[in-house]
Amino acid sequence: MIPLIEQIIVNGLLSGFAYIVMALGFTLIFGIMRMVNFAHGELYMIGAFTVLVFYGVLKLDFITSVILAIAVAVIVGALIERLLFRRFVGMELGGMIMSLALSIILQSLALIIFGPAERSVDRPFTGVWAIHHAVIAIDRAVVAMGSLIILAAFYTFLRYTRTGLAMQAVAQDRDTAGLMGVESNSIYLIAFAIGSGLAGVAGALMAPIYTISPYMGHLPLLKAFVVVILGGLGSVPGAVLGGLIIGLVESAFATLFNSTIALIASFVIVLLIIIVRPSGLLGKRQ
Amino acid sequence: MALSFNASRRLTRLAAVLAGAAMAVSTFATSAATLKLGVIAPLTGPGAPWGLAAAEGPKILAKEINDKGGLKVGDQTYQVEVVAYDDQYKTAEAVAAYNRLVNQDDVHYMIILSSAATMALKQNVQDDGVIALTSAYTAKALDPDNQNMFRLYSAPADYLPSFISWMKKNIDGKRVVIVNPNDETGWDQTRLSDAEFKKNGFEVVGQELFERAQKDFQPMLTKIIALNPDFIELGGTSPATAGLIIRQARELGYKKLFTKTGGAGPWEIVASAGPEAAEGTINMLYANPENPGFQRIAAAYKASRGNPPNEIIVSFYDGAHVLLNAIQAAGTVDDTKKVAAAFSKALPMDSVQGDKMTFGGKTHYGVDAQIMTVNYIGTIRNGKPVVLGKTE
Repeated sequence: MIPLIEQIIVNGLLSGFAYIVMALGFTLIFGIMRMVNFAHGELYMIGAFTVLVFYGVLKLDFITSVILAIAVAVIVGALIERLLFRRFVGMELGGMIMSLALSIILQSLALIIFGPAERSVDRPFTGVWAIHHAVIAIDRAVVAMGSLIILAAFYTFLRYTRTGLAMQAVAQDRDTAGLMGVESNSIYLIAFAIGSGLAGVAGALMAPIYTISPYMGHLPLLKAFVVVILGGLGSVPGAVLGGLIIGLVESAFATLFNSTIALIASFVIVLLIIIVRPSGLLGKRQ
Repeated sequence: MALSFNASRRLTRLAAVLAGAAMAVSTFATSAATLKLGVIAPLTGPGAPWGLAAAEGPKILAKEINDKGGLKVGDQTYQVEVVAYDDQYKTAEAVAAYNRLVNQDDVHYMIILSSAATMALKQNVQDDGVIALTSAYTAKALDPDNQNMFRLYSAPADYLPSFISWMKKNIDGKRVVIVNPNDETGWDQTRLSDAEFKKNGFEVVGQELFERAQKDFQPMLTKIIALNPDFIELGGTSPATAGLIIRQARELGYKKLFTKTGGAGPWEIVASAGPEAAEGTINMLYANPENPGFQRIAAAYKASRGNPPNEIIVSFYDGAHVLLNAIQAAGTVDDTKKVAAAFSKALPMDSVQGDKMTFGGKTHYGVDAQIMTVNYIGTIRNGKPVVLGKTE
């Protein structure tokens, strides 16, 4: 039983770290712009397809391809914010409908360009590490380490840079931040671009592990949604806590029961949180 | 009032011209008559390799027939047109596609790929007098009360006994875990293979079901590996997903065998798992990769879509061929009851691979409504499928 428990914890943590990167971008965009971005899954998909093109087809090295995937997602995110979403800042319903429409358009474009079949790329990292009774796939460990680096960089950016502090100010009170000289439109652009880049890097890192297809963003979006509702919409520490809890709960239930029960369990937890603490574990009450 | 002679002649000429024009239009209409064949299949998502094969197999056949002048039914010649809609492996989408085919496209003949869609549409097919060919694995797809539903190949209930009996003689170990998708296809495949494995002296140490959209199988595989099976049977798992499961199991240290008694798709498995991880996987095949008939269909698919097909394409090509032969044997495209009754006249016939296809099904399903086909038992060697034997 102990080897099984160790493996459950390892699997849960590895999944949790993958969820965190996705959820960070989702919660950042909501925290700053008060907008639920349903096209976030498609930015994940764009990251994965960029890796397919540069790493799988053009045979660039994986790290360069990931950097290019982040760049593409950031550029697409910035364009989306400037051309489509800016007018919906603070209008949750309008933004939601716009993001749903955008999600379908991006999926359809990927379908036209890449076709419907599921694609795979070679794995840049193979093999496993055995730690005590547990086995860790190196490629997943790389994703977890990448998540930790991104998390640390993101925390430093928010806490110690002028732009990060300005973002927090806009998230807390846009009008007061404006009176202090913070240009909120620039902050929206930067926040959306960073959020998109986070989705892009998540997709890029997961591309060699899973298959790549136009509809691959559905499930990560759903997970990001569950994680941020659990942790608290707009809360970065909440996204981290939520990601780890969901990862561990899913791992435990999927191993001990099955994946359907695991899915139900994660949503039951979210339901309970919404009933008991509507703002999430670490979210601020409105 | 009497017409003058000239006026009468002009009217006669006009009438002749109109009659000629009407005849020309009628002749044109005859030569341009179209027989539509509908397809409801997952053209996107994990089931797309099968769905695209379901759409393209009949299209290749239609092109061959149309290039030769069309399909002659009675005195009429028809151009065959294939209309395919994506159901994304979802029942609701399949019902919407069916309604579009029947109500908007005026289709009376169709292919339905998935078990869930087939079960959802079974009653509609009978009520609307539509002839449907299904590739559903579920035994419940056919029943004696429904004369309009036919299966286009032998289902697991037909070939699993000989497949698993072959496994008994040819693979080491007795402990098996059965893994299938959590839907009608997977439930049926699990039930059938569980019974056959036990009948052949295997010990089924576990059964696992997963959601089709799932990508992370490590928790499920952790549990499976703890059961210490000698092999993992992937049943009706879609090929790309089967590849993911194989790859993730290898990462967790599982070194033993995988088998897949349904669904085929060895190339997709290799693409998703990698040749090293997929090496040795025992796999049911619809086609022999070396067969010239299959290679002709595969080349036509590749020319159309740019990549090789899932080899199940031969089943959809052959199924559509049997259906068109039944329509010809019935001598009508309008009376679907006559066409349903003519299936027994259309068979036996040779498949595109040269195997004999017969009409049957009564033993397992209580009604002769199935094209009985030959399946192949294969393995993956150096990233390629190799045929080891045939099912009975």
